Amino acid sequence: MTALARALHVLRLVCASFTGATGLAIVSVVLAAALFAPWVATVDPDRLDVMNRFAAPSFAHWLGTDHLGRDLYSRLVHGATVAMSVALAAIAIALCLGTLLGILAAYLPARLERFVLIVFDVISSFPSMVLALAVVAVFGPSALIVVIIVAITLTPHFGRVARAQVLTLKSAPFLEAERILGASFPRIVAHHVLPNILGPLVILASMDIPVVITIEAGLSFLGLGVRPPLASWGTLIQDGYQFLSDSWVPVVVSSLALAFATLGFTLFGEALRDAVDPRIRREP
Amino acid sequence: MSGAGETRTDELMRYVGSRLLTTVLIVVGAMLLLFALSAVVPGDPATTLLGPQATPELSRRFIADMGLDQPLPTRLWRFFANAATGNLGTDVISGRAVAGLIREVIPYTLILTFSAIGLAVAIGVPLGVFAATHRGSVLDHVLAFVSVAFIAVPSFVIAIFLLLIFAIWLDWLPVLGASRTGALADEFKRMILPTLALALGWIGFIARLVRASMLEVLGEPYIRTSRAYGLSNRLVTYKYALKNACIPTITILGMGIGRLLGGAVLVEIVFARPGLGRLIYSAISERNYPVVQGAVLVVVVLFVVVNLIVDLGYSAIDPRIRHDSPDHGASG
Amino acid sequence: MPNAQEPPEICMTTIRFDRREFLATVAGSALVYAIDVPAQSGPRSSITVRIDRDLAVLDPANRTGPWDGNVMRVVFQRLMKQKPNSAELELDAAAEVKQVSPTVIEFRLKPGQMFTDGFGEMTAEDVKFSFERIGLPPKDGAKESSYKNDWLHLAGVEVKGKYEGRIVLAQPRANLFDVVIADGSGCIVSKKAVEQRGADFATKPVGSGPYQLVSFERQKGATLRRNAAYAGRKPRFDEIAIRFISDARTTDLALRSGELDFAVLAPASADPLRAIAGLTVSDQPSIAYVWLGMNVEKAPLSDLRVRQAIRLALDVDQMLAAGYNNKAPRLNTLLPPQILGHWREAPVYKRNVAEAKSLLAAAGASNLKLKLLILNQANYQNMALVARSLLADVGITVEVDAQEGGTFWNSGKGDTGKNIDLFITRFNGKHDPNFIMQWFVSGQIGNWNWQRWNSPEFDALYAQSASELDPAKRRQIVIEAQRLMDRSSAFVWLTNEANTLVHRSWIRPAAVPGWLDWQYDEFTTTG
Repeated sequence: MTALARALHVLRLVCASFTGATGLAIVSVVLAAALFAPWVATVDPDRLDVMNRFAAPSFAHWLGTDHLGRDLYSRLVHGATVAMSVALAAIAIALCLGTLLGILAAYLPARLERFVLIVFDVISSFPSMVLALAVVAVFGPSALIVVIIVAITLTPHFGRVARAQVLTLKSAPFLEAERILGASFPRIVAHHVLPNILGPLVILASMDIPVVITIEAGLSFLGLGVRPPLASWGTLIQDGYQFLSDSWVPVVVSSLALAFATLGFTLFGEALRDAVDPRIRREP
Repeated sequence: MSGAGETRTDELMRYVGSRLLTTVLIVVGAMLLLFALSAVVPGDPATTLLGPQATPELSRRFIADMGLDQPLPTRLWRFFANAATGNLGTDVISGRAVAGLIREVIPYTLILTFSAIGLAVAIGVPLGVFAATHRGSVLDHVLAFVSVAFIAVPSFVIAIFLLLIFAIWLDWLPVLGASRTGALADEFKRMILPTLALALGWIGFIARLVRASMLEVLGEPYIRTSRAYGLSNRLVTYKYALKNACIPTITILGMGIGRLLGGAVLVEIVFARPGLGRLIYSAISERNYPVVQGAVLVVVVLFVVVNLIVDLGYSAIDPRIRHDSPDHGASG
Repeated sequence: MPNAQEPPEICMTTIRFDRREFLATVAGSALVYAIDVPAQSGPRSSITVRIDRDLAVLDPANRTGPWDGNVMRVVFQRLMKQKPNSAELELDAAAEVKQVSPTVIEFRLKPGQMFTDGFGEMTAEDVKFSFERIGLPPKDGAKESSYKNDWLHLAGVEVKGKYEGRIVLAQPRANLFDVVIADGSGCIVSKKAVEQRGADFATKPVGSGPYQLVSFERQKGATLRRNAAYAGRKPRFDEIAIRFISDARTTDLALRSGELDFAVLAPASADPLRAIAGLTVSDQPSIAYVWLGMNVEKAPLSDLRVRQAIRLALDVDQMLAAGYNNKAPRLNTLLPPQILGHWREAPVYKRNVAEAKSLLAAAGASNLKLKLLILNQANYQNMALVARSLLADVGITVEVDAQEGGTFWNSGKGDTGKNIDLFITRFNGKHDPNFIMQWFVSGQIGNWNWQRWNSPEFDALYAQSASELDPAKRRQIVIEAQRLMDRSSAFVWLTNEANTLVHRSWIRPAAVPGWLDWQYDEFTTTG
């Protein structure tokens, strides 16, 4: 089966289940909003109109305005872009770094392997809030810093899974055969190891996207999120939370957006894993 | 690799010893990271707290008090030497012993963490089992949506909505998460909403995890064979599938406990409840490094100890794990 | 009683409903009885008050801020203290205080003022100890006090008798009474208790004031109970519980639920509470001051025309609307209205885009890119965003740089300080012009003078005002100093803020005007 045919087959399996189809639909909507934000949004999300704060939903402002009179709907749409960029960037970095370290760990001699694992555990056990606060205190808050912090925090996760995958793979006969035939180490890794472990890792990554967005919301709550006036779902929730008594619309709407996006990615990720994992019993 | 003639006890001891060594190295590594960070982060307690009242001499004095002008290895060595005797340093602002501060605050954190995890397990596992055994049903889908919703929404948003519903609208529970009088009944009542706010996310997570692990097992050929041989459905479900779900669940719980011990800041802030997370957060904001160091040490030690127990626990259940590698580490 | 002929389902429904209702009633009443705070709405003898920073050190020598100070000033006595709700002073621990010369103040204590916990009677020795441990270099390994500068120019305190003493200064101090004797650094501690308790004194203070501290838990708060041995005016409330709640949202909810009786909130957070029955919301002008400052050493801000252009491009009223919900009064000069020397005729700048643009053109500055440094709190972020949008109209691109506390307050120093462009910041004030002016002298460049404004004339006026004991003359000096600041155009004054008090309607809170220094012992009930 070619790679494309296999991907399509997996996709079909995903759509076959109700949850998978829903997940895919939601993910598509979110990604579309993120990619085409300037066209999906109605007005400039940064335009202030302080005299018109907390306006009710109207034709001009589909979801009303926030505490500075900015259009909530447009900020929500642009928030999707920020949320997606931050999440995908952070996960991509963590995935690459983690996979690399995981593979190395699986092939390195025992001492060095132990060192890598200890580094993973140090990062896992270190309170992420301390890391976030320290990094922000040094470099100032920004989307890039959020990406770096999250990437560092997620790397051990991917690293360990990658290593576990490689270990189970290592004993496979075909790898032994390649080695005996004289294939070089990079070639083995690139052509045989990576394709086999990348699948589960990517699925794991898709399920981590909502985690990243939630972390970003938490950082915004502590004042460590992206730089104003950039809109991210985290800052929207935080702003809405501050002014909850003036209007419940901002916080509810942004929380719902976050919840739906998370729902979509998690369902899609699970359906993906169900479709790929041969051990799950499928209904005929 | 076990040598010829090595008994099971010897092997276990070697494993434990090796894990203990790793644990120590992890703790040292984490503190090294913290010390390195504290050397580059700008600001000092005087400037942060006293604002314009702080003179440059005062700032310098605080920095000297915290030992920040010393080289890194010296600081690290002195810190661990003191910690070994139970001295976690002195709060440079109030002059109190850090160990005392932590002792005051830790009961709140421990109770909250274990209650939240306990509640999450008590509700999440049955939900996961139900979803796995009724796969594809309407309820399974509803549970999927609900549990993911709980995972998705940030804890402080859940907290505020819980407060609005239960403390204001229904007026059943109090707003503030810690009691003034210390009376047990009052403390318990004030603990309910914070526990719930933390547990909801974990309930969703555990339910999904249990469901997924059980489905893995339920699809195995040997399950079908057992059923064909007449073993009751119930026995199959609970004995084999659930047992398989235990391992990743316990692992996650181990990490969860460790995380919550140092990371329930948002909930602690919203409910105005003392806790290790909040202590660390305010100490860093004040640049009160001795408190940060002492508290982070406690958090890291608790995290690795909990994970060590978890690892030892299931390496006892599943002997295969021990043979895998030099150190298993907390997986997943 | 279920009828045997009835279908079982209906039977079950009836029983289930009754049981549920019964359980709900039981649970409900159990909860009600377990509630700690009494639900009655009338006056009580104990109230709960909220603070937004954790109490840390209750020792006057090392206190960390006004929140510590408020507790200290009711646990300890001072020679003189402020009258209720006023900045005027009255005698407290002293029976008599006399300024016999510009540098000597004589005092005589009232007899029979007892310290708590059995530490004996207050004598002039305790006064000497209390003031000298702050103002003079520390002896035998004690730490230097953070508030040493309060007692600047203190030569020493001489003990003349059991209750009599003299405070001797090296130079006259015009503000000694307002800022020192009647304030935190004038608190009289028990010498024996400090020597005995050492570092523990910070959390177990021993004073002779109207309240004593009965419990203190970090991250939770403290409890004050009326000191029966105090001979002065008896405070209205027997017990005041002080709770530390950092989140404004939680404070709002706790006020609604009855768990808090008094809190000071930002105007924006307090607005929704105006509609709640039983709660009174009142706006009190503060004596803090907020302004947008410019680094005059850094190009292009070193050009006066550029600074003037920025001042004219901004619209202070709009910024205040965004930052404070229109509830904060506008400030047009350094000193807030309640302070001696407030410049009432200060110019009120209105937005003038055309003139701003022409000034920029004259200075040859186009396409400016500036950074605006602020603290990462909501009101500053909102004001910064408005400023950004306003300055964009004259062709200045502003990048908002929101930093967290520790980093922000450290920004004035070293290279970071040299690289600041614009910033919005807030300082606490006191009822003394010199205390407020001190941060803008040239000596503070690289420390707290983030404008890096170097004006020898201002420095001279500051020194003059520090030792001018005649209020009328002092006022003239101070107004002249403010004129200098206005001409430099390095300061866009924003507001002296408003503190919004939210409390049960039967409580009448008390504080020195400006609501930075609360008077717990003067809190009373209405009617």
